[in-house]
Amino acid sequence: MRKSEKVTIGVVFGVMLLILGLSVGYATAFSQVLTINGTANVSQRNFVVKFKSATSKNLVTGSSAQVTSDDTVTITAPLTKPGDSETFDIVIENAGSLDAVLDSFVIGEITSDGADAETLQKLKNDVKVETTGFVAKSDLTAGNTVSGTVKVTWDANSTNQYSKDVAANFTVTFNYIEKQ
Amino acid sequence: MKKSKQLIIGTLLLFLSLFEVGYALSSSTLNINGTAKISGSLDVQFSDVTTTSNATASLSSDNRILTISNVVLNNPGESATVNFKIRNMGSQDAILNSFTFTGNDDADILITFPSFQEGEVLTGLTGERDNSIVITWNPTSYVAEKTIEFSAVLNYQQQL
Repeated sequence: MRKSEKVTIGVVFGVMLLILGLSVGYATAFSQVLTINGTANVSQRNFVVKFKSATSKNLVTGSSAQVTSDDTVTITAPLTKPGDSETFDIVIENAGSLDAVLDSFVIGEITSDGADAETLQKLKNDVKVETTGFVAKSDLTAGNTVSGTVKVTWDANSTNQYSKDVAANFTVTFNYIEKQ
Repeated sequence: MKKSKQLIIGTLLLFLSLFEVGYALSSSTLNINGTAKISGSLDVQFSDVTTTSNATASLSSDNRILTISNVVLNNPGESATVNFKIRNMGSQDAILNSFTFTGNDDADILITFPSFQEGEVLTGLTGERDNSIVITWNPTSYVAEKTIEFSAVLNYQQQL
């Protein structure tokens, strides 16, 4: 082996050692281990405000109240003379995990299927619908209930007469939203 | 570049969709559907009309007018009687607000009306009242022939 060949082999080995050294150095001096330890709690956020119960105080014969679905109550009050009234106890429940606010509630106008204009006006004058216990903008926190009443009255001072039985229909609408 | 734009738009749409779903889940509308059944008929009628043989009586089609006729009294002291009921066929209680008699002031033919009282109440559906009207030729009358007219008007109202 000639001297120049020995030098060449030496240089090659030298370079290989250098590369090897750099790799080792990189592996030891510049590598890092990053660790993330996390815990994620997942809870179901549900908004469920619904009717819990509806009962009639049975002040007049034949009245009824029924929770027909989570968001619907049906009440009926037979009123036979001026001054008659019926009161219904209503309970609304926040069965979800989010606090709610009664954003608004509205007592709708009296309607009557098939009634002529004169009869409808009589009904609007005679049939009064009132609520107690329900306050707009009030909170209904998760897991709690709110109780109130709906009272239907035939105006005691009415002198209107009806030639046949008529039905005065009305709706009370409660609009709950998530508390901000 | 085009692919990344599509990805961004897709992400925004997904975000908006989730937002809408989230909003829908955070409100609730409850309804109370109510019905007040107004059974308001005031319906007071005459019924069960009977007469003695010397008189006839008939009712109008709505049973609110009772007509007495053909009363034949041949001698002083004779009388004819008409019996009838007043019934409250409606659901509302009815109160006798006023009444007016005419023709019962004749000296020869005496008319005896029932003793109505203002404020009498006929309860809805079940209330009824038995009545009689008696027409008598006054025994002390010397008139040979006479005809009179008489009437009774009863004004019932819904009891408040």
